[in-house]
Amino acid sequence: MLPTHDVTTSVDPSEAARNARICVVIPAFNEAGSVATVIQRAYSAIPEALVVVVNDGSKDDTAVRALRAGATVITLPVNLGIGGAVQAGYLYALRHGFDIAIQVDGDDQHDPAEIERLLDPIRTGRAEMTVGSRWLGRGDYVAPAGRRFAMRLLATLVRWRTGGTFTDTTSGFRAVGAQGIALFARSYPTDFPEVESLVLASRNGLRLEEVPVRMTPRRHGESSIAGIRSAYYMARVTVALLVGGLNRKDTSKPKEAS
Amino acid sequence: MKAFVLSMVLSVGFLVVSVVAMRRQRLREQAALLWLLVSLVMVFVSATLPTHILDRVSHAVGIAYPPDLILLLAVLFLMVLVFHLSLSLARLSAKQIALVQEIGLMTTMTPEALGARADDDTETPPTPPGGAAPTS
Repeated sequence: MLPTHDVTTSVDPSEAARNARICVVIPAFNEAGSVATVIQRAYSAIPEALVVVVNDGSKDDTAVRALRAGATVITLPVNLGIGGAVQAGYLYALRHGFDIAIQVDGDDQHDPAEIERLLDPIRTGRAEMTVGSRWLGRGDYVAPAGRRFAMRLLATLVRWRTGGTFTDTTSGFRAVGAQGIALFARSYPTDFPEVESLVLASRNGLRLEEVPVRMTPRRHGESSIAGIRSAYYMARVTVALLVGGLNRKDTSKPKEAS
Repeated sequence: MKAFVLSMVLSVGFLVVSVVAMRRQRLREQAALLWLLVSLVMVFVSATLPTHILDRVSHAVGIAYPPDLILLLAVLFLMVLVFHLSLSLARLSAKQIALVQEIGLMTTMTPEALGARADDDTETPPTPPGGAAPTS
């Protein structure tokens, strides 16, 4: 069943916005079990988009399954981690002139049927970046208490840093317009990029909007952040938010000579 | 006297090792210069042991036990060196990420390429963009 979206309730998208070239970026590390499903659901949700899987040095047959499911596949010869992989996707989107890039996790946690909700604010020019939040009433996602506390702490830090209120700072389900594609292709945090990239985008003048989305607990594989790693994650992200080079605008040289 | 001979042997030995490494181009110019300087300082310190210059310098800066001066300088030097290496590592890693991404972008594959190759693929035919239906 194709989802019915309430895009019509918003401002009528302009001709240019309707013809926007859209690219769905799916970072995948050993996601052979779920990547094909994610791709198929993405295509059925948004048939005019190009689905690009960034195969981050997977040891399984993620690449072949993604190709069979109809995705374009960027295979990184070694594992770079989520940040480097996602940035490769933004580089692809920049070089191929896409207007909007949507990031969807390869583990089937994000429901591509919700993509239209992410697109709407960008298409109508309300925001340059949207982030799907599982805490805004849609879906019945439940997280353990410890994780909820950590997320609230991160949200507080991000609010302090950006002035914006986010309920789901670690969400990897997001969309950016051309400005965001160019920014992230040039500069993107490496290890735990979700939270930092919010601040980076905000500091570089992108208007961010959080959008309620449905998410499902993962069915395959394990979260990249669990157990002792979550403490490390919190320490790293907190330090990055407190002292990281995010106070200033991104002044690094463009990776692209465009 | 034994200490003098021992430290001379060690420091001159280190000087020889760094010169040999430099001549064989095992070290980059920057590092080669650094290690050459370090070994020359070591030779200097060893050669001046009998003149008690170390004792005089450490008393001048208020260090009661002269070997502590050497230890202090050594620790400071190593800290700076490790920090410098840490910076270089970050730089290298950034370059490596850019290169890996570039390789990925150069070898990007499209579903069409798979279709042309896998003609005996009976398992799951490649789904054209837009034609895919949800599996569940």
